[in-house]
Amino acid sequence: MLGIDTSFAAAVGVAGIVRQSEDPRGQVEQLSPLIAEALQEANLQVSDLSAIAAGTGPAPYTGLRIGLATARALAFALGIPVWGVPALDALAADAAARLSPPPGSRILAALDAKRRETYWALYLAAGAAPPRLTEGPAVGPPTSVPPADVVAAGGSEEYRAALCPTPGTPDRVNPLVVVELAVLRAAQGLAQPSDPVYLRRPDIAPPAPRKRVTR
Amino acid sequence: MNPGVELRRAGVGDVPTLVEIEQATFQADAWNAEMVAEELTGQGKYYIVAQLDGRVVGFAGIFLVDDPDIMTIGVLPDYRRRGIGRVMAEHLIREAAGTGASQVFLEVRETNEPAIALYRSLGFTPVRQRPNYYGPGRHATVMRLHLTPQAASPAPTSRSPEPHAAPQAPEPPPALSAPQTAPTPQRAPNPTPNPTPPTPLVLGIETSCDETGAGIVRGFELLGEGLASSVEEHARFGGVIPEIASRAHVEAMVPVLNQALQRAGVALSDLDAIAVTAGPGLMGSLTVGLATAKALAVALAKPLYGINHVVAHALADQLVHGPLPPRTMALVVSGGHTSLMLIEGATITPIGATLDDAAGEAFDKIGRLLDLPYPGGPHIDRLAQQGDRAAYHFPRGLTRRQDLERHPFDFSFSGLKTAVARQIESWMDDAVPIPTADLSASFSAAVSDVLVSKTVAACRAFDVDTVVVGGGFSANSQLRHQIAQAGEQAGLTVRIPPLSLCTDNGAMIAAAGAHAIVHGQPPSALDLGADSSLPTTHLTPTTT
Repeated sequence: MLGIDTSFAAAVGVAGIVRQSEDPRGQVEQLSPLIAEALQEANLQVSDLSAIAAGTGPAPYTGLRIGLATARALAFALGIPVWGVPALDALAADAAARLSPPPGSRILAALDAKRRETYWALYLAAGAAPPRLTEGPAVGPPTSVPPADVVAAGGSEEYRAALCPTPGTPDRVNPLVVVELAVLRAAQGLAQPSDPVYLRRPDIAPPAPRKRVTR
Repeated sequence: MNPGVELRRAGVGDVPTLVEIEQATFQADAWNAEMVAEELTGQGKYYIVAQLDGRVVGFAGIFLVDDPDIMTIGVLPDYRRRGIGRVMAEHLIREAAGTGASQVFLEVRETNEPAIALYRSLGFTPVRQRPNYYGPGRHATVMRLHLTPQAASPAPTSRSPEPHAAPQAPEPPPALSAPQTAPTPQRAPNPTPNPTPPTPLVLGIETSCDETGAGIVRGFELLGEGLASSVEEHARFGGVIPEIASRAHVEAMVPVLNQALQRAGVALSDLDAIAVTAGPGLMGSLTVGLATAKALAVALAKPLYGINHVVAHALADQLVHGPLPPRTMALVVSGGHTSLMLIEGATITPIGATLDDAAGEAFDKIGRLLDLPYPGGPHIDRLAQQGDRAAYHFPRGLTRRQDLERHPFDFSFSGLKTAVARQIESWMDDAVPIPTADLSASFSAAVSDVLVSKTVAACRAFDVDTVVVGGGFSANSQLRHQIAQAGEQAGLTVRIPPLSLCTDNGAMIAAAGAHAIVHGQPPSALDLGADSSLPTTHLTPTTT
């Protein structure tokens, strides 16, 4: 299985190998070459893939769409399923796996929403199982996020600093965790739509009132 | 007419003589002795020689399959213009008719006018072009003869003049897919290790604005298309909202791909290449198509061709009217672009462009002033058809002498737009009903006049005799009428595709991809990016 996440830059994971870029603006250029690289490193052919798992955000729109369009086209061409995994779920699951907080601990997962806002969701640690979502996902200023025992924030250093993440938490979504969650949920028979989660309505500046050319 | 010309079946003993005729006729492309011998003895091949005074002066052959194909006709230079080629062709046609065939095909260099004239006089008609059949930039015209009793023994009444240098054609195909024959003769002068198929099967993906398009072509034949549009979602805002368009592309992409494949009756694995709009356009929209195309290229291990959307508008006409001539002036006019460019194969030279608004944009803006529904262009066009184009005089941008010196082939529509707006405001201030038909006609005339006069001037300046028009604005009836008329007066061939190919679609991107391939362009790298303001200097963006 191949995992893709584009909530920060471009990240690809397959068979334990992760390839990622650092440039949050270069996703359309970098994602497909990274997939080819990761497959080669794993000594796999693209035809060996049995499913694609991709992060569905919430995340900045353009990058998010690049990841999902890529995942869907790969799956379409290969005749295999594409599974969508909320990126915040993967971030929280990764943080829980790394820190093993006591069950019931509050885990906040956050991703950069730009415009000085943050996407966030609150989870409760569940031991060996992935943490359970209790609140969100939502978007708002960093001051609007609820208090938590563990804070995991994915994004640039500058963004993360504003969130005060718990030491030892991941600084971005791991595409291998995206794959793990997708496999688990597929085994449970859950639907995993690959639709992007935007949380905001499209920005629409209403047509400006007509300006006269004569006065 | 041809006293003393005798025809007989060619034998292996003729090989040395036939090689001489080959060299005298086809020079660098001539078959060698081994190839000629294989041809003479190949299964289904029927070769004859023409003798004059006991000397072999010409030879010809046909491949007698279900649809027989004339392979070659060659006559020594000193014996041309005596009808020897015609006699041999007529003999081969009779031979084909004798096998029960209903039609005969041949390929001829499209520049070999004497030969084409000969075949026409025999009843052959062109059916299509085979680009690069004889090597890069050297195209073949495929001609067909329907066999009827008359055609099998051509009427001697057609006293058309004998071709001048003929018959030195048709040149045989570079490779034959003959069933049981041994290695087939090669005629392509520059064989490449991996020859691109002469009619590549290409998928084109277009997402530069609000249309999600996929099209599949084989060469310049359109096989199937899928299209979705978010235009209705934008209408209430009076213009395309980029984020709405981008979101719609993600939802529509796979269904549109599926639709195109099903209509074309093609599987993804059959494709030779994937072409995709790399710009110009809306960044968020472009990236959806680009990500999709790159993923397909990775999954299918097929080459990727990034395509310039504006250039593709000009190349779409090839799907309807066949390949463009070697030099063509293209006028691309739409809501987003107004460009003049010279197309010479895969070489694109920008000649002129708008300095401010695109022509279609000016129409949409005037449409808003007149409270017409979005997009306003078609509404203004309809109103204009009932109005007087001379009712009001509006400025023709960049047509004054000093402007023409600096911007001979550039356009400007913002001054026109302001002049029209001022006129509308004065009517509104005076509470006078707006004469929308006359206004629309006069405004349209100002736009068309400039587009047409500069296009014709560019053709003169660059010594080009064919114009192709593309882009959504080429639906405008005044532009169509005016450019056709001006072209006729100036002795220009004007090509405009049907409206379905003028607006944004995937087929034009596929056609541009096929154009890139047949003109020997290299594929794009997998790290190809989107460029919202990609200049019209290249068909495929240069690698970054």
